[in-house]
Amino acid sequence: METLSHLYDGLSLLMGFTPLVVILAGVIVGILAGAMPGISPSMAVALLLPFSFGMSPSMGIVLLCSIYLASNYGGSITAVMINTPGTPSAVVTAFDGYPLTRKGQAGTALGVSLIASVVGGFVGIIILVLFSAPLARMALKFWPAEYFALAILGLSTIASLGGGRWLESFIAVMLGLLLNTIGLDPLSGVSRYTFDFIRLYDGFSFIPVLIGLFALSEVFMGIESGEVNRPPVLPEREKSPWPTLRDYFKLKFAMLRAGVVGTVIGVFPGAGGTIASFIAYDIEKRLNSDPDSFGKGNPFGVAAAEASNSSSVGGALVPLLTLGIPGSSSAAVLIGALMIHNLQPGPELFTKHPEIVYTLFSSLFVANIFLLFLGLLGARLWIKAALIPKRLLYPMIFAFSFIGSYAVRSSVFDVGVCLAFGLLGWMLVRSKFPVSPIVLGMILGTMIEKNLRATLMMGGPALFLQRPLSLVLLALAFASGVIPYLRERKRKKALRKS
Amino acid sequence: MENTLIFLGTLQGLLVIFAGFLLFLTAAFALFRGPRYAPVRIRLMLCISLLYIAFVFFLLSFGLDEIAAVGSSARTVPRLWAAGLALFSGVALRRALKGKAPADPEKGDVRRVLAAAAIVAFSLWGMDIAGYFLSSAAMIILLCLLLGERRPGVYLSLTGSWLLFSWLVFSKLLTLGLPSGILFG
Repeated sequence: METLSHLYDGLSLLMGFTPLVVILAGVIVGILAGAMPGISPSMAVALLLPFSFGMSPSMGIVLLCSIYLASNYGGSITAVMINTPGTPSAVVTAFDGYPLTRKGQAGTALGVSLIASVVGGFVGIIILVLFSAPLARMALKFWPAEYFALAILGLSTIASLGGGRWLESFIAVMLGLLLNTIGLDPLSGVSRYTFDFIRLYDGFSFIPVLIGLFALSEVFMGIESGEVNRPPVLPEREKSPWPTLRDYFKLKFAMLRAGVVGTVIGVFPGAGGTIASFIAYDIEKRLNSDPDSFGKGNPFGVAAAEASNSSSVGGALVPLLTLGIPGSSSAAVLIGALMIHNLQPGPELFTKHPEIVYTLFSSLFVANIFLLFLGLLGARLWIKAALIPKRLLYPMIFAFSFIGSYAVRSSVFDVGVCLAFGLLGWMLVRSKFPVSPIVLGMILGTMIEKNLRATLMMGGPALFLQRPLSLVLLALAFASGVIPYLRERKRKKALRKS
Repeated sequence: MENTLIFLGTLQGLLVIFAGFLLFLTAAFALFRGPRYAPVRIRLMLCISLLYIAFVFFLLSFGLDEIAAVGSSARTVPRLWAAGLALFSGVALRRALKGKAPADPEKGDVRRVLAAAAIVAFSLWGMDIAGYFLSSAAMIILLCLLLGERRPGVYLSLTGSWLLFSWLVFSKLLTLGLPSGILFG
């Protein structure tokens, strides 16, 4: 009841011209960014972060969350129409969406992907609203030992979800954690690895690092691969009718199932929409009476993929808002945005700034409704975003990165940091190292260090084992770190035998 | 030893560390020159670079001021992460040497990437001299040309639109103090 009343308060704060324009702008920009191949949701949120500086904290966060939500849908439009997923999570949508278009049923594919996105989005938001407040209340009772264990679990999960690349994920996490130690020690104030350079006393500013790793590294990859010279793919010209209400109704369980799967997977740090859509698609294929038609244009495949990747947004916001741990790369950027507005994500956000939290929740509902209307009205218009040549798009991304990095502290040094991390990210990505774990390491580094040292001061290492929850979390972290290694060994053994 | 560590912690020390890195990398490149290592050479260099970074962080931690609280100090955590990075990079290096690591990707247009980075760096340097608007205009035009846009009407209008947009939104609306540079400041 209390939650509903807070939600109502949040909703009433949004019922003005400015908030609605902010949400509408966020949704439009998000769809366009998602529809442009090469611009991921995290990149879109990072690049557009400077626009939130002049807004109130709640409006700034609302804008960025609207972009995040809509960009997940935007990626599906190009996936369906031209077989070019605008976002990594839309890859799975293309499996069945594009074959439907080839069969002359583009309307069915676009309609199903839109409605599934909206339904999945609602499922994710409802779960977010229901679970985040109780989780935050529970987290308020945590000791430093539990926070430390939780952060370690966050790190180990990303490694285990890295699949075959667990070693590269661990290396990237360690690099992020190590880079996070640059600056003043959070407890004693001792200067570490600053080389007498005053700009480094606060460590690396988070936003330039994010923009460099997520945006510039992808642009450099695009330049290296010659993608910049490829002409944009033109969409299929034919028109086809959109599905009827009855058609959508047939997909209801697929959408709800995928929505729940996507939310649950989205909660885990590092998982995000891509993994969620692969798993939901796989589940739907196993449950479907005609699994062989998957990959050849089955609307159930489109529904599962889209519902899960949209619902992962709500899932990713659960650990972000309640524990200060990002559930996805885009959520990591949102942490940076919250910090810029002097808000510390975590359980205290619910007690100190409930109005911001519930305005955000309400705005997600509103953004999802806007998404439905804008998707219905402009699906064929949004696809034009994919036709912008990369040779014009890339200089613009550089320009946005430039000003976005500068704007945080009005520092040219930060623009240099952004460029350096862009090059670092490019080198790592081309050698098949993921960059998201570096960001996670940099976010969780301070939390880990503060709580590790606080626990050591309070009762020594034994305290980690004496607190039951901390022990359980550490055991889970150990298991999720070791399981991928054992799984890989088993797989190799089986390969050798065969 | 203590004086050396203190020196390495300064800006001049950073240059020495960087020079050491180049030497270390050259030596490693010479060591893994053979055709056997060709498919994974970039990965090997990357792992070796990471090992060097871990070593430098670990070494410099001995030079950090020690304000020891009960059971931990400012040195504890950097050493922990440096050890972790060294361990995992070591495993990755071993895998690459044994031929168990994925092969390096095919080399693309690296020169164009470096040229793009150089243009951005040049524009960054120019920002303090010529100011934000002039340096970012130069950056966009040069990047468009580098990436293959040859129509002056297109890249000039793109640059003009960006300047107008950034002036309106960032300078006027968000009142962000963009650098005016020595020439116009």
